[in-house]
Amino acid sequence: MPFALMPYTAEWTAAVSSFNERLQKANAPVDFGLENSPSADRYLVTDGDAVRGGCIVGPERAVVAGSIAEVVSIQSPLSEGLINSEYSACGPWMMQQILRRWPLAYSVGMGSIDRPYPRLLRALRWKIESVPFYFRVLRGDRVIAQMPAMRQKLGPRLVARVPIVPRFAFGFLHRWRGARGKPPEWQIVEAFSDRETQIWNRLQAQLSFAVVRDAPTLNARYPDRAAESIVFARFAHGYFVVKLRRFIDDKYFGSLRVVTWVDGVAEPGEESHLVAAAEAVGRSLGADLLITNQLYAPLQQAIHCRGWLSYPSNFLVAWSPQIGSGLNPAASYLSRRDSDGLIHL
Amino acid sequence: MNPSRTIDDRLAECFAAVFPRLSPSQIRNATSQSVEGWDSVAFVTLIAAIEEEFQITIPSDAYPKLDSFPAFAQQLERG
Repeated sequence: MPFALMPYTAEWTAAVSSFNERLQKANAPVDFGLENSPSADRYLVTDGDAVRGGCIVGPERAVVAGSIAEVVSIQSPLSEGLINSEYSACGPWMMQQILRRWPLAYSVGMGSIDRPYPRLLRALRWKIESVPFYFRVLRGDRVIAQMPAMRQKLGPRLVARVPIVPRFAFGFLHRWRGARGKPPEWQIVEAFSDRETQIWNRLQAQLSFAVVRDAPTLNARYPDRAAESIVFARFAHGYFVVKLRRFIDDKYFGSLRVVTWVDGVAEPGEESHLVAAAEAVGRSLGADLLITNQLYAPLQQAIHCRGWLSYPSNFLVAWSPQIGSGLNPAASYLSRRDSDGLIHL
Repeated sequence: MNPSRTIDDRLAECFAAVFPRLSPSQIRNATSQSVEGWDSVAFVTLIAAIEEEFQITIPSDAYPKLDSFPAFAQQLERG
């Protein structure tokens, strides 16, 4: 029976459940299944009455080589080929069908480069980049005491004996690496306005790739800001979004208050002020740790200049050949906010 | 290109490049079920190797049927 790419409608719910059960029984190397509820942005690979794979196809407006275009983000792709080599063609077939309908596509997250999905995309000649991870410790004592990786590295007895030193050590380290200067005047706002759209319009002409970040798009992107602890803030030459989360016994963050700088735009040349303002808002929210992933080179440079530290990133971005062929990653704007990147934060 | 090589010979070389542990006789009987490591990445690599060797584009509609050496050979004979 030939494969077909079908919208996920209600009559496929039982077949999706069977697909998920097969993946689970065979210990597929993924920690998710296809969603059990149909929706307009979900697509399935069908094979007669059976489901052999599927993914989410999210439409978005993006800057591609300086012009606005309709693109799609591919999320949570799965194929029966993960557990049964008889269906090894299913994943490649699905991706080629998607590109036939939506040639301008991208995907983020994906874990490390040796995972099945990024390996497949690389084989299909998608362009793949790692989006660097940066962090700034605001309360060193709590970070060392709470983060399992830190506790393991230093030893619990040492951590218990010297609670004061780390409080100052990280501040010193960040300052030594370059963090200086007061943040600009900033304010928390309920929603973004035309002023933010004008800033975005000035920046976008310089970008190789970026999902649109004007005021209407960001306001719609985060509809339930209070419930999700999302904070909008602005300063004279830029605007940004942070998300606060109090982790409890998390395997990476222990019980820290983590502020993720999920999005941020500054006029060209104002990137350092953007970073400083994000730090200030993080402090005002009582964060122990500030984290972000950023691809845009001027922002990376500003982050380095402000003394942030970096760590190997498993947050990847992949662009379809039609976008990737002429793309300059350093001039592309991509952060943790893109696609479903906030899923674990 | 050596003109005396048949389609099967050239196809076998593509398989050997992707699955170097297979003997010549194993290659001619290779199926997605019998070959260890025949996953989606190996499949795409095989497609790319064959497209380069034969200077063709294999339509993605044909992918679901391409699950063995004989199936690839048939696809190439059909052109």
